[in-house]
Amino acid sequence: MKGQSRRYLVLRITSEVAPSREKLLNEIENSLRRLFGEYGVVKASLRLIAYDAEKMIGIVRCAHLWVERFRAALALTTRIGEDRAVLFILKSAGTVAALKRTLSRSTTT
Amino acid sequence: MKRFVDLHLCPPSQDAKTTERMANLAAEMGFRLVGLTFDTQASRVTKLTTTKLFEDQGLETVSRIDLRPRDRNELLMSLRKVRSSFDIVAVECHAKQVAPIAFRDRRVDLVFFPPGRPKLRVSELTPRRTRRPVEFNMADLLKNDSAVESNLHRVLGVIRDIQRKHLSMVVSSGATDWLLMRAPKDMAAVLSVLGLDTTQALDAVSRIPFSLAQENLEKQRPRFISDGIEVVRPRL
Repeated sequence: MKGQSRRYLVLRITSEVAPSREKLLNEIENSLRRLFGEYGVVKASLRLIAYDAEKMIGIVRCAHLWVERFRAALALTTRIGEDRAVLFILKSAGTVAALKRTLSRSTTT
Repeated sequence: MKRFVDLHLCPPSQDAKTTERMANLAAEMGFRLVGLTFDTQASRVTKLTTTKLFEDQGLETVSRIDLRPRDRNELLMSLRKVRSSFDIVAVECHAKQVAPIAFRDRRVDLVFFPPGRPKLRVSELTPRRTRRPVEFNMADLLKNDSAVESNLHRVLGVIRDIQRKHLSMVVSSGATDWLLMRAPKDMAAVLSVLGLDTTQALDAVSRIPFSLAQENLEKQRPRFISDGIEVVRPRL
């Protein structure tokens, strides 16, 4: 049986304080939980693949049918822990390689 | 490629640092055009400085004013005063008698409803034939953490009314600082999760506000007379 199709998303965090990897993962799961419940967290099958705390950029894997809902959940997130923050998706792609290619292309131009 | 627009940014006029951060973030989020909200007291220098900060980031800008009239007469008087000085005129409908006039008056570009007045129903207040878009501000959902549930409920009602009345919708951030700004596709995703069609939701952050801004900029050209009529000068 063919596995579930996934999308890879570049997540950008803007905040006064850079959150730790654990705090960030916790918050993105909580944001989904608030809007769609435990069912949403399971179905979205989120995974924080990479995170650069210095640049405040991460790569998140998400079930492709849940990308829209994940975006909505992020848009309604106002805090990471106690600190106010903005989370948004910079780019999305079907593979990590494609994502890295688009990112390197956009940084060179 | 879609041209994303946030027609409702309210950069603080005294805080250049916040304004600059808002401009950086708007560019990073992928907006092409932003509406900068000023009040009637804002000086020309303030407007120019703020606009320059956004234009330096490669963004197109339009000036906007939010009117909050208490009654019909106040609305008509304010429209007479400010229409020619701003590219976009939006009306916040606090009172029941203001909304039908705001929807009918050609000088009004956008109509929006305050979050604290759940009894103002879009379906009851809009005239039957109107092309005026209803604006929804994301900041209304984000400002009060404890009231997210009731605010979402209200937005659901607005979306239902808009679909029933076949009105167009514009979604903006309504951000007063950079922490209230949201990316265009994320704002569209919120609408789409709440029941708006995906294409309509994307149009609400791109096609509809962009054409509104373009039409208004077109009207300010010296050659413009009326819709479809302009002065044609012979080439000298």
